[in-house]
Amino acid sequence: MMEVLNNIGFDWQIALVNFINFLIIFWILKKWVFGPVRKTIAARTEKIQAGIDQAQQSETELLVAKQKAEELIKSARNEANQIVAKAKETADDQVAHAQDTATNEAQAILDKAQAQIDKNKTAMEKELFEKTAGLVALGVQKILGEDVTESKNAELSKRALDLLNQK
Amino acid sequence: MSLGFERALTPIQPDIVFSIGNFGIANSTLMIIFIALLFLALGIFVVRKFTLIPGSFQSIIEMIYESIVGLVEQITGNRYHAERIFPVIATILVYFAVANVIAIIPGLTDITYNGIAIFRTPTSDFNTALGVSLASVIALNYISLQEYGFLGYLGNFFNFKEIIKGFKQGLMEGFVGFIKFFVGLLDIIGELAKIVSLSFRLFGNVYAGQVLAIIIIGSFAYVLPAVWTIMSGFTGILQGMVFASLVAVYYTLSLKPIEELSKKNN
Repeated sequence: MMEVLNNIGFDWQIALVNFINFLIIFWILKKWVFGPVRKTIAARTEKIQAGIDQAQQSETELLVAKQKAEELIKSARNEANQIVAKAKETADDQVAHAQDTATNEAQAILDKAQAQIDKNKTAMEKELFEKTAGLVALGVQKILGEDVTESKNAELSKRALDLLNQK
Repeated sequence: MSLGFERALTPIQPDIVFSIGNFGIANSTLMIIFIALLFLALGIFVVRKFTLIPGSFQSIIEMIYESIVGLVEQITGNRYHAERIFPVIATILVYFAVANVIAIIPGLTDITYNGIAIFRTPTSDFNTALGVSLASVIALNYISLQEYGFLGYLGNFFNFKEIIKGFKQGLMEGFVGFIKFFVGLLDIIGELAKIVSLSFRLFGNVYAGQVLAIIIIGSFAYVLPAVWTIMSGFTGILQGMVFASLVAVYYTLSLKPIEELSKKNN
């Protein structure tokens, strides 16, 4: 075995030194190279992750704010609708009230006008009756050549008026 | 029969450049020290200045890092084991990749001291491959020891529990327990075999690559040597990757399954 090893250049002293040198290289790389590189990568990953987390948090917050805003808008819309409905109701009431008042006032005016008309009619009828009576009396006087009494005149006038009314 | 390439070939035995006491410092060792200094310089002067917003060089380093993490995770199958063995696997991979590629730098292996080349590709020296393999298997067993605890770790090799459990169930199961016990003992040899197989495989591949390079450079003056040199660079990285992957597989086999760990944690 030793012969084979010697043939391929085995020397326990060199092997031992090279073994120790490898351990030194291991220590150097672990402490000065791999460690700092790992730390740098970890720090960057952490920072990126923090950024992603923050972005996700912001997104969540934005979503919540959006939902809140939507709720507020919905609530405001409902409130506005309620106010509009109430205003419409009030307006309808006011319109109805105004209509009633106007109708009543119009009716009163109409009634008043009707009363005035009736009054005027009565006055006109009275005037017409008096004039008709005068005309009848005058006609009879002219036709018959005699005076008509006041009572006869009234009767004739009445009869003339009735005839007129019947036509 | 001599083909005439023997003189140009890198000798199998590394050359001793100088000695400290009884310890000879080989040219492959000097190259490892040079690589270690490169890594140290990279760590102190470059990596320490890394920022959250990476530049182009930082991006390349991070990309390599992430690729190795991905490779280890792919082999181990989960993040927990990957993180646990990452430093060892990454060191092997980066070290071998650099060690194999660094020889491509023109003139580096031609620097001599007292007629001896100061630098030599470390992986073409069997002692380096053996040293790294030994370190890997020791690390493998150390992590295994941490995972199972001292008694649990020893239980992997001296499986008395199976014999007792088997005989409690019946005579036949008892014999099966005996077989499992001997299989456990064979695992000790298996650990030693890992060192041998890893070191021989790496050394054989890299040294054979160098022999081929010498033959090609000696046979063809133009074009092909350049192509071969570039290709040997890629081969070097590939060798490092294969070695690291094999060690990662050994680690994965020696680690507790993740389900067992989660049961333990619950």
